[in-house]
Amino acid sequence: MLNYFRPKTINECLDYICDDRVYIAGGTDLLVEMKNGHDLSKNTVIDLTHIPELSGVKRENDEIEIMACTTHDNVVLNKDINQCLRALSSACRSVGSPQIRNMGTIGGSVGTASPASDPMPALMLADGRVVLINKKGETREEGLEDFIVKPGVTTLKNDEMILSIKVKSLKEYKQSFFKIGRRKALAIARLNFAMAILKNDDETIKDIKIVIGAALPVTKRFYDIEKMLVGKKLTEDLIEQVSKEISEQVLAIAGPRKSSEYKIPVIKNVVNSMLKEMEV
Amino acid sequence: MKIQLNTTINDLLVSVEIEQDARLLDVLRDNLGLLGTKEGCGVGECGACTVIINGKTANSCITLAASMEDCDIKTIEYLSKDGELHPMQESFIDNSALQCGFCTPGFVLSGISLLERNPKATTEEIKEGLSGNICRCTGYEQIIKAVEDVRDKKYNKDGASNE
Repeated sequence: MLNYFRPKTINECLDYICDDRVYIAGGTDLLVEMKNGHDLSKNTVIDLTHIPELSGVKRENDEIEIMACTTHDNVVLNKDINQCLRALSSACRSVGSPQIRNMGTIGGSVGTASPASDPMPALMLADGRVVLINKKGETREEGLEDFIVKPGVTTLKNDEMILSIKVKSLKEYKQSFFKIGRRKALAIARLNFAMAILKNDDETIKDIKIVIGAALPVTKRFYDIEKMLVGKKLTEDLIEQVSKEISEQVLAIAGPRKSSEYKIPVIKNVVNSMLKEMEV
Repeated sequence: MKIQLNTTINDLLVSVEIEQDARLLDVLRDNLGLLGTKEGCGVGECGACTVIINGKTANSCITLAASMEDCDIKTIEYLSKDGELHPMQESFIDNSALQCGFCTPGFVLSGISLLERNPKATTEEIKEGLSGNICRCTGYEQIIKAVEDVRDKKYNKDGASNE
């Protein structure tokens, strides 16, 4: 490390931002990269662990703002998120292990742009937007789908840092998160799914949101299918049709891979059973 | 480059000169001689290096030591007082919940931490609470039983068995 700074406020932090900056929050990715030989000798490391204002959850009406350095465990424990965004509570509960959840942060998870992120599908489910602040103190917001460009790449500029993630309350929605990994704990997601559904009194769909992560280079919301479902009743035939369509879309985007033979039917079956479960 | 780290480890104020990029694990073992914390995988997957930071478990192998300024760190060495073992340690011994012992400090700290958070943890919740620790000897059954026995208060606070 060329320089190491541990600011106590966001303002102080902005002073240290420079072109060669690397942020450390939970450290669960950076320290592993360092062990694997990632050279930081020419970098300025800005340590975000001692900035109280970067941690915590605020709720204002239908909007919830999760500050960037809030740990996965603190998301799991947060009452507002439990009430309004249960899919995110489950997603954060499925990250790594108890130790990793105590260390890793929501901002870090978004910033590293891993295609296998567990919180990401739940954040996208809730129309997640990332709030960025630059060295001059100016903020901008960007939808997560635009912010994540490809694995490991975001639109974060050199003079910016992640301030928070804003999500919409889905309190009235039935929600569900499902993850498939190679083992129960400490498994990187092979596939993860988040869904939310809101129905009219006559059982037709008022609104539905469907997100799949880990199967694709970038976590995806299926807007076209969501739109097509509005106003309809989730019959068994429709569920069958939708799960087939989604698995075919994934195959078309990701292209055939060695794992397709396993993943495509699994995607179809999981989407199918999640929709059925939410229908009950 | 070296910096000074001031923090609390096992209730003692510590001031130690460390490398900027040092891991907490190395500072504990090499600078402070606290050898109970082990390095297993070195990438945060096996839990042998588990310590408690500000009341929560963490993997010290992927914790930047410099981040630990003004923190409250507890290692396995914190547990025994005046030669008396902690109930969790007694229970591990009585249940033969260890063979080679390398993973034990991490399991003991995770066990204590999960019961502090959830004193009535079910077996499933105990498994979940221990899921960040890997043991390659025991097959886990005895470890889970050891935590269950502490949950069921089979040990008094001095660590001696009530049975």
